[in-house]
Amino acid sequence: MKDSDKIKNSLIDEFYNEPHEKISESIVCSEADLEFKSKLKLASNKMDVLDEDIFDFHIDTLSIIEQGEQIREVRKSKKEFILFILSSIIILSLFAISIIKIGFNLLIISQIIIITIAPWIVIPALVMKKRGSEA
Amino acid sequence: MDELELINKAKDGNKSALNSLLQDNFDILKGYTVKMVGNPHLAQDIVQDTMLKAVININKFEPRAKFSTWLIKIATNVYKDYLRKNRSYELLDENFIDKGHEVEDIVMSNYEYKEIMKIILKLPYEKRAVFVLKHYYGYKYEEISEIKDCPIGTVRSRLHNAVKYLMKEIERKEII
Repeated sequence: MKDSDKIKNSLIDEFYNEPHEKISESIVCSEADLEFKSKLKLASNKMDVLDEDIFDFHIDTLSIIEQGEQIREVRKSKKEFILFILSSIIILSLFAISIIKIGFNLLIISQIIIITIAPWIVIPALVMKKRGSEA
Repeated sequence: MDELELINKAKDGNKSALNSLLQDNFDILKGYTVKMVGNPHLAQDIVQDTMLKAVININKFEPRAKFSTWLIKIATNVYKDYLRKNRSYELLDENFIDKGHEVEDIVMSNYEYKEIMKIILKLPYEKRAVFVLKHYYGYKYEEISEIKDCPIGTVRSRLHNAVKYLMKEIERKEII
């Protein structure tokens, strides 16, 4: 890279308050570099004209939030559905394999156990969940 | 209420906090998008898409950076996707120039605004983004490199090239 380019880059960095290579005063004082510095300042002032807010548009943030929430809900239920299907397939497959390996008696025994134990687990769990959501 | 508090509430599902966050950062997002796109109608679409993505992904936001920085990052990606799908950011820029009358109507007597906007739109997208973030919003090289997912050296050289090009064009068009 040419020296003049390096100096220009450093002047740009300096203008934007970024760390830059220290350049000795004697080099920067060349007429071309001083001219570049003043042109940079002038150009920057001109470019600031875009800070004016001339395009007026309104956005309904509340409706965007509603829309976003709906999308999140749909995604969440899709995810839950896929999880449910996957876990069901896994459980049923394991169950089927166990029946094949151990015997048909397992089905009857497991059904009796599930019917006996399930109400003692499911009902208190539902009551606790209901209380939790009310609190 | 400070930003961090609003972010935490928004993450907990508080719509009003989320709305405040979006409202507070609307101006900066709008300004950035308009400067990047140069077309108020497209800018409006991009701002809307950006906000929608922010709402959907609010739980993924980590408040290491400012919320506005995150929004700008999303807006940059939304615009990038738009350019990829349409494969015509140059066309869009030409579009802006071709529709000069429309812009003129909007801008009315603001000749300088139109000319500067045209010059900025002629910059390649990557350089334009770096320039807009640095010049108009004062982001540090480090922050820009995070927003743009590129090394600091690349940010620096893009800015240098962009500024030199803009200076040359402003001088050529005798706006100075």
